[in-house]
Amino acid sequence: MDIKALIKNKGIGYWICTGASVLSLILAIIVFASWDNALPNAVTDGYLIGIVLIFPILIQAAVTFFPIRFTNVLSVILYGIAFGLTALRVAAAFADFFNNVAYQGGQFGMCVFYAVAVIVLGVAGVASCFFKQTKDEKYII
Amino acid sequence: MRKSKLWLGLSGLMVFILTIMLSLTILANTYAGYINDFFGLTTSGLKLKGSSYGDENGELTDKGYENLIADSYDFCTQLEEEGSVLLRNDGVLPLKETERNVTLFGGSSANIRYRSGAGGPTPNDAYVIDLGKAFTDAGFNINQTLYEKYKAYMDNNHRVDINRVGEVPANFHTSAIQATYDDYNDAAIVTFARYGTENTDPTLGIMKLDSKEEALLKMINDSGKFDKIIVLLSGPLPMELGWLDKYNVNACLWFGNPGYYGLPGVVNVLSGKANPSGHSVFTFAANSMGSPAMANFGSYTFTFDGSPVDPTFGSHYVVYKEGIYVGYKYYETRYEDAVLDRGNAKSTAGAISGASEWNYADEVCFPFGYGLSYSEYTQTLDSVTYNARDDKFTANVTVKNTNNKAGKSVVQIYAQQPYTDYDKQNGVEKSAIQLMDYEKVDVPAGGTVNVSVEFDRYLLASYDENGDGGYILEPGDYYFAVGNGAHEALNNIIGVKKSDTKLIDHTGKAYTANTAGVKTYKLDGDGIDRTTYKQSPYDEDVTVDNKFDDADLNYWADENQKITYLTRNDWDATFPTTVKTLHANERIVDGLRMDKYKKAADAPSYSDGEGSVYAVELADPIDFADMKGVPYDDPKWDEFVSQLSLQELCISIGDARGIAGVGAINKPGNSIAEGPEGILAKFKYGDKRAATGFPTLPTVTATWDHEMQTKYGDLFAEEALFCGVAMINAPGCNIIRTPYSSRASEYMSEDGMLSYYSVSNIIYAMREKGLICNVKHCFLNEQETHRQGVATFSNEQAIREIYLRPFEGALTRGQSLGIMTSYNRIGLQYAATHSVLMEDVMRGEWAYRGSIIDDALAQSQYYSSTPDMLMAGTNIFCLDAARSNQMKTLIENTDDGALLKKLQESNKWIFYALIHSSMAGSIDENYVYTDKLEWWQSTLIAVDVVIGAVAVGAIVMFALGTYLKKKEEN
Repeated sequence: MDIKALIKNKGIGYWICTGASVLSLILAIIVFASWDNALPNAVTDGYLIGIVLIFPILIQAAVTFFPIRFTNVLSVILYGIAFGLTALRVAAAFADFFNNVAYQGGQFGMCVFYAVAVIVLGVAGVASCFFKQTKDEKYII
Repeated sequence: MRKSKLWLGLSGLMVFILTIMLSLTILANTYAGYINDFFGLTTSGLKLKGSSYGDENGELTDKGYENLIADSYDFCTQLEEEGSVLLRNDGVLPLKETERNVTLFGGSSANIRYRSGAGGPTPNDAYVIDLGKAFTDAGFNINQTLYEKYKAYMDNNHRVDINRVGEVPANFHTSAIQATYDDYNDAAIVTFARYGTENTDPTLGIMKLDSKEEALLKMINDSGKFDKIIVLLSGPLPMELGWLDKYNVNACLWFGNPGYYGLPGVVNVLSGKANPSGHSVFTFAANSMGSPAMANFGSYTFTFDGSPVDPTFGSHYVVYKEGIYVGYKYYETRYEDAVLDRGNAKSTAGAISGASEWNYADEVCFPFGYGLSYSEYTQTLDSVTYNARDDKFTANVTVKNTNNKAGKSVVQIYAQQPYTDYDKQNGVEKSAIQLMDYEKVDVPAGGTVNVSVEFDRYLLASYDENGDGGYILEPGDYYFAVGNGAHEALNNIIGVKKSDTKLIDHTGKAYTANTAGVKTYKLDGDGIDRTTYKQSPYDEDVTVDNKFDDADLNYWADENQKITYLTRNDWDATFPTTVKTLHANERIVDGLRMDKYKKAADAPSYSDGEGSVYAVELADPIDFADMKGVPYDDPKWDEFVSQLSLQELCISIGDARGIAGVGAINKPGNSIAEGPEGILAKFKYGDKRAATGFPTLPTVTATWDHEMQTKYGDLFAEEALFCGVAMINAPGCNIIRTPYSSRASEYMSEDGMLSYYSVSNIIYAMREKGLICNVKHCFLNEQETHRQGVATFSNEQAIREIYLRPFEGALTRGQSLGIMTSYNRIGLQYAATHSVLMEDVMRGEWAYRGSIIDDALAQSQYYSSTPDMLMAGTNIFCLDAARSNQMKTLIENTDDGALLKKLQESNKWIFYALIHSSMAGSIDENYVYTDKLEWWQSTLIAVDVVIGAVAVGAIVMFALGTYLKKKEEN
């Protein structure tokens, strides 16, 4: 397999999605390291957000060698799921913040960071869908 | 059609939008209670009734709401008038009518913490009364230049917090500012604040006077422009106050958290419009770090061989080594032993730094129960009689107002029990003074009023955990006394017991005992009475014995780590040291795991319907409304619950700011609001503003007035009716064990007895109006540090006489039908899995018939274990509707009929509580529950469907385009 040619053939869509997936991995690491304190007290499964955020890079790794046309959409779905998991878990911290109470615990700033970061990744994923994944537009599927 | 890139992009976009929308839809439905509240919707279609503010048909109206709001706001003022505690007054208060030009000093004067930030309502900004407005509304001219500068400076980054006193820098008061004092120098009114809240305790040492505060006082003194310096203390925690003399403070008034509308009451006290009558609910110690409880408060971590099984919830501990000597019980008992020279009480153990011996006046600035008035009273204890028929004492007191100002006098009845050789040998501790009850009375100028105060003899008994295990009364002399606080009452008793004793007041001045304020009651008998209270006073079939042996560290610890509790028999040798290290031996490691529930080998099968019948189709179905008036032990309850399927049984155990409706029995949905600093909800009438943020519970309790406390409960419950709330997580009645108990604003006092009366007064009134109160947090939750999972060790005497007593009062005297367990462990056992606490003590000894909710915590593997909690007695899972599905799946997967049976029992308690709520008065047999979607829910679903359709369309177009392209290429 000519790796050089393979990489050379990658389109903008691929690179956007790859960039997003790398950031996703970094975010996953941040989540694993911080969710225990960052999310409201009642949340005991914040790591799930991190687990979902690992998958995009795995998909991108696979797509590097086996280009499939719609895989960017899969990444977008994963970011959507990650957002859903995040939204459900940070909501209590938002409620506390806007009610000016400290009932559920957690760090409002970190919760905002999680939610915004996941949305940014999702937007990048969506953007990548509008661009070519390979320059020669040859796909397995 | 062949623009596949575009269609793929659109597919991605729409899928992303769809996932976000679906997430938000789920989120919105999870928090439907909040949204319905925001839009003023009722989930049940049920309008609550039962208000005194209702119309002639009992209906709630906008007009009734307006009247209620007016009364609530007036009551906030009244609470501060009667709950503020005048600690010092050298004659400067009340301010004369000519003294209306004042300067408000202190950053907190411009940014008061109205309440703690824990459970309670949001402010209605248009109606909130800050200190400046309170003064100007009362006709004062305040130094606006300085006040506005404070306002500008004291933003959220500078105001008082748990780690910050919220004071301006020393150089803030420039010469230009100081020049403004001349026109506003009738009085310097300085506000200092200390803050506590949920989840974190204040920084240790913060109760001292801060250097910025010191600089402020010095500047005021140095300016030479103020003849009167008045200090206002804001917040629910006791500051150290040993500096009042040093800075020439003429008067000092503690007012707690005033709520959003209570500050006019504080100003009314200063102006003399109101005559202060509040008394302290805790001891103002000279050294906030000096009490024996402070030796073990904060963060302590077990050492493990290897890693802890559960690092999140199973790593920390705290030991209440002080035993019963909490707050005044320590300071006053040690005082008596010191002046009578016994028990090594004069030793320097626990004495303020540099002292050659322990001296009361060095340790205490203002005692528990102390408070001044503009009137002057004398109190005479005329008699104390015991009535064996109802096992009560009656104290008759004459109160005389000796000056020309009418006022309210608080009669505080204290008792002293004999401290015997048996006690010394068996570790039964006796506080030298113990509050028994109180009564507040109006006394006209120069007038005399006779007061009778009645209290249960049971409350006088001591818990003897090392004897037979149970409450005992020992033969000997019992002293009853009145006084302005615990110290004065004790002095009066000592004056009778040993008249030549040199007594001092809290300032260190010689005190002459009021012997007319003391009566002796001689309890005759051959020996210790162990039988009278061996059976529960609430259920004679239940025996009272040791239930919390395993809450004692000595039950678990290795021999070399066993502890000694503080005893008055030897203050020097037993004054608590910090338990800095504690090795988690094998028993402790095992005890820290809460995931112990296993299906029993002989457990009935759920699927075969063994043990319990469920989903029964009765010939004559029983609705929720049909259960009105049905006693808890009536078999009809079992029949009623048997109608529910497993799915339906799981509905009511899950709380999502409320409990969903159950169609099969036409049970409406009901909200569970958050408190206790008012209701976290909005009114459904009138201008639909947020509920009232009342002055917080220490201030309510500091009124020392059964009527005021009852009225607080009544108005609170009235507001609940107008908010559509039938159940609330409030009030709180843990003990303010130390000056750093962060959640003090949600609690009542440092004393189990004062809290016992206050909480039961409040709850009884709430019950009368149909508000079910989940009184919280039961129990041993006296610190926020590591509150979730901290192993809290105490001995049973302290547990019974101090920490459980308020909850006992709430459930018995207050007749509560709700209670919330705490986050912490009782010993090693998580409170929400503590079957002894819930089943044996609450439902057994206290004959409790209501529901039990945990404190909000999601399922976790080793701690907050759903089956363990249910089987131990937890009925509702706070803010965790996910437990409903967990329970259903668990029962289905394990075929565990024992869990099903317990689930049915939980449903019975929940419905029994709710049918006694305001819902019962608002529902009739014609009520039909419909699980209708609110308009916003329907809208969200419609939007989801449209976006979903567009997304599917885009994907189809992409697939079609790709297919056609490939076909073309081929």
